[in-house]
Amino acid sequence: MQVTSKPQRWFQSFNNVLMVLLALICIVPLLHVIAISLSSSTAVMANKVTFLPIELNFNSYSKALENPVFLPSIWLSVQRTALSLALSLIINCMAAYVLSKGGGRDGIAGYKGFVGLFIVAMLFNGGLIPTYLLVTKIGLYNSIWALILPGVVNVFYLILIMNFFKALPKEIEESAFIDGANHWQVFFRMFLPLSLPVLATVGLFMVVNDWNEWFMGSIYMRGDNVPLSTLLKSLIAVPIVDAGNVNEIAKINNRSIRAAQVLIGALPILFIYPVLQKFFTAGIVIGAVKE
Amino acid sequence: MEMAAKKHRGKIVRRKDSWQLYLMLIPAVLLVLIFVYMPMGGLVMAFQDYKPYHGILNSDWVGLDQFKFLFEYPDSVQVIWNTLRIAVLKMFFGFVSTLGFALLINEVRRKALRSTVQTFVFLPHFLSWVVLGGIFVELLNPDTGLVNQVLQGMGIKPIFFLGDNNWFLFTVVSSEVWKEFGYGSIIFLAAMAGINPALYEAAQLDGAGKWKQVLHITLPSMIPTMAVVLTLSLSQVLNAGFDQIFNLYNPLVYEKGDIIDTFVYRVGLIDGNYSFSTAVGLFKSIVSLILIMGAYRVAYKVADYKIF
Repeated sequence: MQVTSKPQRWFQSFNNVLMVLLALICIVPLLHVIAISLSSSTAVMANKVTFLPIELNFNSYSKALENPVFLPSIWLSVQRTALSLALSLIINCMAAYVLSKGGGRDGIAGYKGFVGLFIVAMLFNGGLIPTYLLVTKIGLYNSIWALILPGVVNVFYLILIMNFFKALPKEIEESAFIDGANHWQVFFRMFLPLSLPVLATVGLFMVVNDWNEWFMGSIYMRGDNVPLSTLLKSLIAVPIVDAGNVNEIAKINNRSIRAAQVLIGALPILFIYPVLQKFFTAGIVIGAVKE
Repeated sequence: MEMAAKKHRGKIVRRKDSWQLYLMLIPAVLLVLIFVYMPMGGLVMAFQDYKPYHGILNSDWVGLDQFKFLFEYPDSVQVIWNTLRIAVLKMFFGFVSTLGFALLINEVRRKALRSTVQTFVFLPHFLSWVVLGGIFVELLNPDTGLVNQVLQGMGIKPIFFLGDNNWFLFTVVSSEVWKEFGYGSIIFLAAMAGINPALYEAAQLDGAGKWKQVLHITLPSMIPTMAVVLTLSLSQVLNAGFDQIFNLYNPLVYEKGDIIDTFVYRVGLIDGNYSFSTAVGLFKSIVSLILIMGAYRVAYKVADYKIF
């Protein structure tokens, strides 16, 4: 046990209080908006609501869901997130498996070329306009695939998974090969099951990214067919023209409905956050210490 | 760690089933070729006066005119300065707050308190700027927002955080720091966990207090990590944060808040000035590429940090 002197104990208590304050600062904005979403609009208009709902009700949530494009946009977001997750995981894992074999006897010819191809893709790209023109020209405009395909290959995750594969003991794989297994069998029956923790981490990050992504929806999709994040962006955007008419805008946009909309958008993230929190520290550490 | 390749007449003899490996690699390669490399071809637009009905093949070539315009046009010069200003401020305050928080939370002895605090401070990182934009617009409203009500209670006039150019800069930097200081501290916490406890024991025996231990053990041991974090973030000096700015800004704050990425979006997709927008984007990509490669080199030298 450490011996603690008096000034040190003072510091400890002061530090504890400071940390609690920081934690509150991070959570209070969210609590305030939750309270607003659950309060009656008259209470909200009178600026009575701080952190506890006043005249508790769920009207703003049902009003938010009454918007005819709201539910379809949630459904589109769910589909997009699920498809993206499945495709990204399998495609990045397969590529990671291949690259983890290197260019030698167990690997492929042109290994260095393929590595270069992915590295360059990570560091440089065509930018907004050329990418936009390509996606629309190949007929993906207003298709869910425009939201998925451009982001499937993620070189960072690919590298992370590859490093994990590289660290798996060679012996298991070799004995499987001797028993006559082929690459597919080794990949699906050994590498994937052995990498579940890292796959869970990467998968959760993918889910968060895809659920939150809103920009592609705003440029690749028609206005009435957008994922939830994009819809929220357009619902929330307040056209502040000058300080004078802010009052007017505040009255037109019902604040509790907007709060409810924002929270519906954040709900899945808040929901998986406890699971996420367990995994992401591990993920970062895997990425940082590798080899 | 590759197996020693078996050489046979100078050629590597591969496993018979290595064709399966190519099959597994094809989807990723194809997607990268289509969605990353094909648009790179479209970068020639930056050297043209691109007209959609002429296409890339028949549009007029204008050489470096778009780039000349980029440096002569007051708006784009302003945008470059805005980007640098916002990015540098975020970098500085981000680094200080992240490191400071990591050092302080590391001193918390109660495990339960520690993990509870971490749970809360990591959360904002995972919320999108769309959601946070909605929250901040509500919170910072000059008339009805909670922040201004508190300020009014203290006798301070309401502040138009999202509509006043100087305050916008403050809002953008502080909200970014707020969002990321917790999550960013993970890498420092990992570095601190890796410090040999024997060093601290020895220091205690020599009578070094907590403060001296931090100064002479913790910080020096973290120099490689700090160097990597700092150089990698320096390479992002042209990324002022499109997601955040785009969700918080409005025409009132273009003067200080418009950055390269928002400018590229508006000029290109809203005004339809494809070539100029592509040129601005290309300028940014090339400078960023040079910075990132330089940063990786430095990070590799000081800390043996390798991504591949």
